This record gives sequence, C-alpha cells and structure tokens, in this order.
Amino acid sequence: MVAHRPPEGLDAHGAAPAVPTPDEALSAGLTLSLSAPAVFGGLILRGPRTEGRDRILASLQDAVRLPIHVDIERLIGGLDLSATLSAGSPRQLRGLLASGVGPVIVPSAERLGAQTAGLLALLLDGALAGPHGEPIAPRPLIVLDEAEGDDPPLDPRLLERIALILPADIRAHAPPTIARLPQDWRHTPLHDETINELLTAALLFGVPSIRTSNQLCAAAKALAALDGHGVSPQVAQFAAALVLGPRAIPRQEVEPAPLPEEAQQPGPSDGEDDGQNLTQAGELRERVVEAVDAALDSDLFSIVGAAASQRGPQGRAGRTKKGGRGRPAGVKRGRPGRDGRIALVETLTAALPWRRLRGGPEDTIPVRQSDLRVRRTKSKSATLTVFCVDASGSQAFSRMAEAKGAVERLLAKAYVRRDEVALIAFRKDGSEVLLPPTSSLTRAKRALAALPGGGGTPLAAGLQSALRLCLSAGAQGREPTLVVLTDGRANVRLSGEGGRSEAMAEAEATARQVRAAGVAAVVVDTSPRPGKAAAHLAEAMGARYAPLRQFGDGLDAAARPLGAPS
Amino acid sequence: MATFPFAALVGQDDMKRALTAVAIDPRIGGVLIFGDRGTGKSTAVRALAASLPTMPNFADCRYNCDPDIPEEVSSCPDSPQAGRKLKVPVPVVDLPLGVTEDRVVGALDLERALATGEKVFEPGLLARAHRGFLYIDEVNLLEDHIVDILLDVAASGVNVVEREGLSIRHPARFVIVGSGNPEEGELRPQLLDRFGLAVDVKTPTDIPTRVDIIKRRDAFERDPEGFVAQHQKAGERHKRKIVAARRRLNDVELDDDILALIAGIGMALGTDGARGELTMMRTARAFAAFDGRTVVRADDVRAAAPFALTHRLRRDPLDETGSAVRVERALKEVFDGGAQAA
Repeated sequence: MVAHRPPEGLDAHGAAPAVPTPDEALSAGLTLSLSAPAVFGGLILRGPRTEGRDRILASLQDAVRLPIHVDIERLIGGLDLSATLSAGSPRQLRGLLASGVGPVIVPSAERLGAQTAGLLALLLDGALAGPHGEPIAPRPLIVLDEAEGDDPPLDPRLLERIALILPADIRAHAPPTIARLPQDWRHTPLHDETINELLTAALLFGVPSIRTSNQLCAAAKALAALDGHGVSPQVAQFAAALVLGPRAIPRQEVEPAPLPEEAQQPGPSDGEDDGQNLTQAGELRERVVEAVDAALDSDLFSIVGAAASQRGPQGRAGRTKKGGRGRPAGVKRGRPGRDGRIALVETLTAALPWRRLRGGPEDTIPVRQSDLRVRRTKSKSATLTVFCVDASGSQAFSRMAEAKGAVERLLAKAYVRRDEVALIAFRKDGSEVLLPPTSSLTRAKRALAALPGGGGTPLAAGLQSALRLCLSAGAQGREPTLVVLTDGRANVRLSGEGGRSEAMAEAEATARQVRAAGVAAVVVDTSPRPGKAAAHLAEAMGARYAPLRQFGDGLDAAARPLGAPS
Repeated sequence: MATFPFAALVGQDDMKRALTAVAIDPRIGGVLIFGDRGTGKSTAVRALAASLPTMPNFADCRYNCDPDIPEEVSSCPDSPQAGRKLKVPVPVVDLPLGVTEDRVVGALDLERALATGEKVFEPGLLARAHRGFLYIDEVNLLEDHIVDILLDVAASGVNVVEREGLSIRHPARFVIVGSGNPEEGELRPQLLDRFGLAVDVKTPTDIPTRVDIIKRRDAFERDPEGFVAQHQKAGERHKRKIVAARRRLNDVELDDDILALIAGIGMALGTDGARGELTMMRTARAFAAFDGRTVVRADDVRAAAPFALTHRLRRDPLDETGSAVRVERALKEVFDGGAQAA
C-alpha cells in the first residue's frame, strides 16, 4: 500500500555513509538500552577496562553492579542466612535483580557461568520470577565483556539478546548525552521498503537472528523518534551500523544467497515508477550495506574464536569436575573429599533448622551426614587447535608463504591463550603429522618452516588424520578446534591413486564425518581466487569459511617469507 | 502483561502442531524443540498456554489442585476445601539453568523452621507447573540429575518428597517443553526417548516471511492489547477446537489397520522400545480429534510419525544421513508399499 511512496528523505543524499562517530554511537547506545531494556536488552561494552568506560559506568543512575560470583538467592531473592542468624528471626534477602529498576552492570561477563547468564537472559525475556513466583521486570544490562587471551567468549544467550555492542575504549571528552525516548517512539512509521532493506542487509551480513532483525528495526524507529524527522536513509544506515556492525561477518564470506534479487521486488508495485522504486530501494540497500561495511571490523582470529565457541567448551558450559580446581559450580549434597570440598555455610544451613529437634548443648549445631554439602568446581578443559595445511604443488606455488604466515600468526595467538597446537600437512600421496599436540611455539614454528611443498592434493587423507587427532584429543578431555588451510581442490584419493572426482567425493565424505563428530572447524580458503571448492568443503564440514584474501594488509605483513623448505 | 497470540505466529507449523497435540493430550509427553535462537520457541509456548481456557483453582492452594478432581483436593497438602475458587490462566513456569533440586521439587520452609521450629514444606516449581507447562530453555545445558527428576515426575504425574524428615506427595502433571541447540551439547539418548515429541525449528531465510514476522512483532510491541484483540477471533477458534478435541479424544477410534501401520513404521525404522509407537498413536489420535473426527486415518499417522520418531532413532556415527531423512524414507516405504499391496 505504501509502495508508491518513496522512502522518506531519499533526496538528502549524503556522500559518505552515515556511520556513527564513537560519541554518537555511545550516546545512541546508552539512550536505547537504558530506555527500552525489554526491546534492546542493554549494552555490551567490549574490551579491557578503560578510564572512559569507568566514567560512563559511574555516571549511570541507580545502577547496581553484580558481584562476579553470585548465587541464585542473591540474584532473585531468598532467605538471608547471616541476617537471619544475627537477628534470630527470618530476614528475607531482596534479590539484586528484583530491587530497583536501574541498569545492572555485569562485570567480567566473559567469566559469567551458564547459570547466571541463563538467569539474566530470562530477566531480559521478562520471564524471571522471584522465589515466590513474583515477576521481575526486565532491566537494562550493561555487560562488560573483557574477554581476551584464553577467556571464553560472552555467553551466546546474552550476545543474542543484547542489541548494542560498543567498544569499551571510550575516549569521549564530553559526557554522552543520554536522551529519553519519547513515549510513542514505537509508533514511528517504518516503511515496508525500509524494513525490507534492513532485513536484507542483516542476512547479507550473516546475522540471521530474527531477534536481532527486530531490534534493528526498533533501533531505526527509536533513532528516528529522537531525531524527530522520521526514518530517513541516514537513520536506517545509522541503525544498521550500530546493530549489525559489531555482529557482521565480512560480506564476501557469506554465501551469496539469492537475496538481493528477491528483495529487488518491493511488493506489488506497478507501472512506470516501478523502475524508480527499484533504484531507490537498491540505493538504500547499498547505503545501508556501506554503512555496515564501514563499521565492520573483523579478522581471522575473531572468526576462529567464534568457531571455537560455536561448539566449544563454553557451549557445553565447561565440564564439571570433582576436585578442587576451577571456578565454583554450585553446591550439592555429598560427602566431603569424595565428592568435593565441604561447603561450610550450606552445610550449616542444612543442619540449622534441626538444631532444636536434635537437641544437644545450646551453643552447638549438630550436623548429620545428610546435612553435608559439597562445593563442586568447574575447570575449563584445555583446547587443542589442529592445523591441517595443504602443502600440495598448486598450493606451494601460489600461497604457501601466506598460508604459513597465517598459521604462524594463529600459532602465536594460540600460544598466548596457552592452547596446544598440532600441525598436519598433506601432499603427494598422504598426510603427515608434522607436529603432535604441543604447547611449544618454537617447535611449532620450526615444523612449519620445514614444511615441504609440492605434489598432489590428498585432501581426504589430511582431513582424516586431522579428525583422528581431534577425536583422541576430545577423548582426553581437550576441546579440539580444526583449522584447515586449503584451496579445496582434492585430486588424490585415500588409496593414494589419482582421480579428481573420486578424491573430491572422499574429501566431502570425510568432511561430513568431521561435522558428525561435532568438531568446531574453520576452512581458510587459500586459493588465489576464493572459489566454490573450499566453501563447499566448509559447508560439508559445518565449518566457518574464511578466504585468506580477506585478511588484508595485516596478514600480508605477517606472511613474510618463512625461508625455503629444508 | 499481554501475551503474543498463538494465532498470530508466523510459520513454524511443525512447532505449532506438536504443541497443539500435547495441549489436547498431555499424556503424549513433553516436546523438545531444537533450533536456532530467536525463532520464537518460548513465545510459542507462552502463546499456546495463554490461548487455552482458564482453569479453576483454589485461592489458598499452592499446589494448583484441580477443584474438579475430588481425590486431588482431598489429598492436597494445603487442604483447600473451604477455599475461594478462582479462574487462573494455564501456568507456564520457566526453569532457569542452575536451578537447585530444592527449588524444583520443593523443600523445607527454612523461614518457618528457623522462626518457629516447625517443619513445613515449601512447594517448588513442580507444584507451580501443575496442569500447565514447564519451559526449559536450553535443556541440553541443564544438569542431568535435574532433568531426571523432571522426566520422572512428568511421567508419573506425582511429586514425592521423602527427605529432611518430610513426607509429601502432590500431583504434578505438566507438559515439559525443552528447547535446545544440538550443537551446544547433546541430550543423552535415554532422555531424548522420554520426550514425547521433537521438532526442528529453523530461522526463516526468505525476506517476505521475515518482514511479516518483524511487522507482527512490532505491531504487538506497539500496542499489545490492540494486537491481541485483532487476533482474538482466530484465537477463540483455536481454543474451541482444542476444547472440542479434548472432549472427543476418548471416543477416537483406532482400527487394526491403523495399529498395524503404526507397528510397521516402528519396525521399518527399528526404533527401540514401544514408546515411539505409543506416542505416534496418541499423537495421531490428537490430530484426528483436532480435525473433528472420531476415526484415525493413515494421514494422521503419517503426520504424527516424524514428531514421535525423529529423536528416537539410534545414532550411527558413520551414517551421515539425518534422522529426519531416515524417518521420511521409511514412511515413504511403508506407505508406498501399502499402496501397492492394496
């Protein structure tokens, strides 16, 4: 019905995409997240602590800061044991989340347990209830994600629910302007075409979540309501850069789905102005895309890291182990020593109610075996990154030096994270484990420099040994991540014989086994012109796909010649 | 707070059908919903509960006992006979991850114990979920021992607490709806088997559907009451169909051919145990009842089979074929084979 009206404000063509400046992004992010937590969830501040960030946090009104280790009672309320004991009569603890309505600051969010993250996700969904079933209203979460090095990434449930992600590196001189969204911001009109373009952009940048798309449209409305001039292309760009920018996968890596064509038809519009509408819609999309591109910052490491987190240890919320090491992971009935360390307070809590019934001297608390509680701990399992490198002839001539450079950088990163690495190369008629799992960077570098090149591409054989290594690492309690560097063009079969189509089929079957085994994987496409073969392999493997070309200048510098193969 | 209307949910027909089936016949058991985040799983559960008729309840009963079931009332730990009656919406209880056993099954009321030395039972989430739904987001991340308790209670319909010197039993009949992302941790096969139905949901990737979803969501968030009113008619229709189906359920007949068909599908897929086949039968019956019939037809069975069986197939790590494909293949065989014989 609105197809005949062009999107508002298209005449105001700006030359540069409307990428928000850091100050603008911060003001907008704070305004949106603080005024409509049920929609936007809050704000993730990414990066190490800075003075600027702390200044912002200090300025937030009625904010409450969660302790790093916090139990469910403290969060949603329950009996306050220490107050109860000193008062001699029951004292209820008001849950941190239930008292007040201001923002909740979540420090060291990367260390948040799955339990706390789950509660916070319920809070944002409006589905959290106190100890007696009383609902707790959503509040904005200001999540401080300081993950670096070997820290796990932010819990995916929070990442999914919180629309706004900004760098913690805040250098604003002036305090951000936190505006109030007008009451009726939701009623800001948003044209079908604009929704169409925003959603197309979201898919184009590999952000498939419907929730995020909803937040994107809501952000466009909110920004327009603040602006007072309706949803102009600039506002749409701003919203896209703000919401999609930090989540986007570089465009070239997203499967070129037939979306743009589909979106070229903005509804049943007819006649002459059809063409005009088309151009306008296309133009708007281009500008939205440009804005996100400009706001985009991604490199190989974040992709590898994301792949590891997809099916890695955090997804599984780590492993709960008996014994004393690691982070606390709840309290359970059990025998100290056998099941874990004694949890003194909980044990006394369990024993306390029976004091009168069990008798005994006035100032003692009789403890029975059934009262004993133990504290369980969770320790993060070690990770192993298996590099599976194509050292075939085609590879050696074109990209070997660059591939080595990429592996070396990844190695260095793995070393910083204290991960173990292993190196497998495949060429000629088989594969070879050049470096069994080790945490020695020097050994890894030496093995890499000595990597010989030339011959055919026995991709299936390489993948098979990589998978074997990953599975045995998994059995030992390590979390494997597989990084395959190849152009994906297999031509040697498992049997060592040649034959392109059979070799490709075997490689694909092996890739599917990798997927079935649930090994997190990345395929780095090393062919000079990233093509279908490696992308196809990545798909079969359920792996992230990343063309080497994409890593640009930084990588070229790192890919300095590593010396001739010995 | 208004709830997004069930009738206004876009797409996700499998999820809606499975939820509707368990709303008609809770004996089918729980529903497992696998799929991406943000596909409206929890919205659908809440929407379904809100679309059902309100249920009578006693104001002074913390166990949600059904006033129309005398045994339930007479054995209720709160003995609410004298209580005032209410009409309450069908409950949806969220089970947070990391929830303690005490909070789930109920525990000694510490407050009373400390203050007066009385031993009083404080009912847990299971009591609150009685006659409703228990929703667990990311059930694959829930501690195994909690999942065991939940499935045990859901299967028996009774929560028995025998500990800390307390002895309590109260009815706890609820439908577990668990959502999960299989990429983030598997459920043990024996737990999978105990969920009645399983469905896969996927984020729609075509722009028009996505636009439709976003527009409805936006309209709802803008004016919840207005949006609910707009879909009230369709909601009422769905509600009436469910109520009628419930009433009809016991009259729905399964003739021998249908039973043989069900057994044949089970055999073709080599499912372990009879649970899959029982579930298939109950689900087919619910579908027939929902459709206003008292006779189960072969197409009811065909529709029910994937829901009841996909999660019950044995995993073959070397066979890369997905379970859904295997079920589809077996169904084709059984149905086409049957057609040829006829």
